[in-house]
Amino acid sequence: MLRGIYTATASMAVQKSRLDILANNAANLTTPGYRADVPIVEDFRRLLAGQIERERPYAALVSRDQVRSLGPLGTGIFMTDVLVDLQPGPLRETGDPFDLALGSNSFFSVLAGNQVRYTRDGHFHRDRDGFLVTAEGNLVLAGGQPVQIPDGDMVVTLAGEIYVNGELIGQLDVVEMPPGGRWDKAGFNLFQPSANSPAPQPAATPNVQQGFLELSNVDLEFTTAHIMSSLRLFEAAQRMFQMQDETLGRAVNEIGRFT
Amino acid sequence: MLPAIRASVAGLLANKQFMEVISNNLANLNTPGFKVSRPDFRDLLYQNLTQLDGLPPETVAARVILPQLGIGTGIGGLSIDFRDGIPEPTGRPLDLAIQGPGFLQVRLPNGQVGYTRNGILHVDTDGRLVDNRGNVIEPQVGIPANFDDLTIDPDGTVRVREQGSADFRAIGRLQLAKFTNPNGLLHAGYGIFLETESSGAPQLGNPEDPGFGRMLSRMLERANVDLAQAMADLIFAQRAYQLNARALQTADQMVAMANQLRR
Repeated sequence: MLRGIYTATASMAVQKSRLDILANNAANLTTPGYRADVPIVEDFRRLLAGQIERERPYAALVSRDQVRSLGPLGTGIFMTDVLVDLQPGPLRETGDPFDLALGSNSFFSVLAGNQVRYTRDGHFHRDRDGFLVTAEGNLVLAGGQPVQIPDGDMVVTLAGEIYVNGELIGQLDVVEMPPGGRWDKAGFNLFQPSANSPAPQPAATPNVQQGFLELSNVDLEFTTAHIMSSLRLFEAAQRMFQMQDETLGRAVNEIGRFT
Repeated sequence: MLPAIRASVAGLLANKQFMEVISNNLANLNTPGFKVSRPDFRDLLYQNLTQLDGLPPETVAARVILPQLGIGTGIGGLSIDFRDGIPEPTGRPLDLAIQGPGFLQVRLPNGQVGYTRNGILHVDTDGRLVDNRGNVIEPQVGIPANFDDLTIDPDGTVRVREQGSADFRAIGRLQLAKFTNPNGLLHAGYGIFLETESSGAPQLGNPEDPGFGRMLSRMLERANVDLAQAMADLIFAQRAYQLNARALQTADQMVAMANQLRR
């Protein structure tokens, strides 16, 4: 009976954590280049439930042949991981030559402080010295260096080469994660490779789209449905908890009472 | 439960600000030289879901993947779109539209130089060219008192025709100022922008110099607000606001249910 209470509690805890993640996705519905977090929920180790066929099971150790298997018994669920959904978000045409979007799963390299970080938010502009920077003011890297854009008409090719007035200025460092790699979020629209992930590699097909911005890949309908389901599943687990609590109460207080 | 509430509230606030920015853009649909702005959204810091207190960091890094939890969104700043609005003919001699990245310079009452794209000009009692709030246009152009008609050439040369005369005569030339990072300018209201550290110093030049733009007389630059885009943004912001409200409500219901566990 107590096992059932723990199963219900585990389910409530998972729905609470799911809502935490869904609420953060919902909050970032309008964040350009945001990647949704996807909670991964798995069940706990299943136990093999058995019934001991012996008259006095507590008297001594029970041998295997005295146990009749009743099949597996789940012991609840828990959140094992949160993955980043790398599906590209919808592109929005802005017509601004400094707005760049990535069509593939790749990332722009930027310098945040002294460290290289990665972003999908291509809402760039020039700082006062003419360097290409993100909306947060982080320097955008091209060939491992910040890139200075002179006055003139800027054209960025699909491969990320920057031309100003027909002259090649540099090529944006567009990277992608090799298989088995993993991104962590660093906040402020930045990503970094996880601690034990391989380093990102130059992207095979950067697919840079000039004059476009990538929106968040959070799906409004999907998120609404999941928020609703998290509440109802929490409710179901809460009922399950209460029922078992009542049953336990009866077992303790009423069984064996002589009236 | 607090993370969900915190993230939802952050989302509500950010989308409310988004709607305010769109409202301001829409309200200035008919303001000459108005530049549309857009909030720069960003996600906030992430915290690790798993607590691993007391373990040396190397061990943690080598063995454990830490799931992350975000704490919502925020607006980092406003980006102003300085692209040209459509020049609209008005027929008024003292109306001026700028095509290209340049700004007119005006001397503000406190002596500072402001930069504007609003080309509704007037002549003050001292015969100086001023903007519609009475700030003197720099460099100063003296307009003769008996002028009958005035025109401004694309290269900024101001020409007047005096009463009784048939010819236009050049009396001065307007300048333009441009910035490497106009996004860094401070919007001081009334269409006036001020130089800041992040905008850098202005570069001065004459209209029709490469990269400065040109002047169109008897025209006004319309606000560069795209009405359809603004309406679409407004609907999107409202939907995002609703979604965050729903998440907040759900979090509240979940807390209430947890409180009712033991009746």
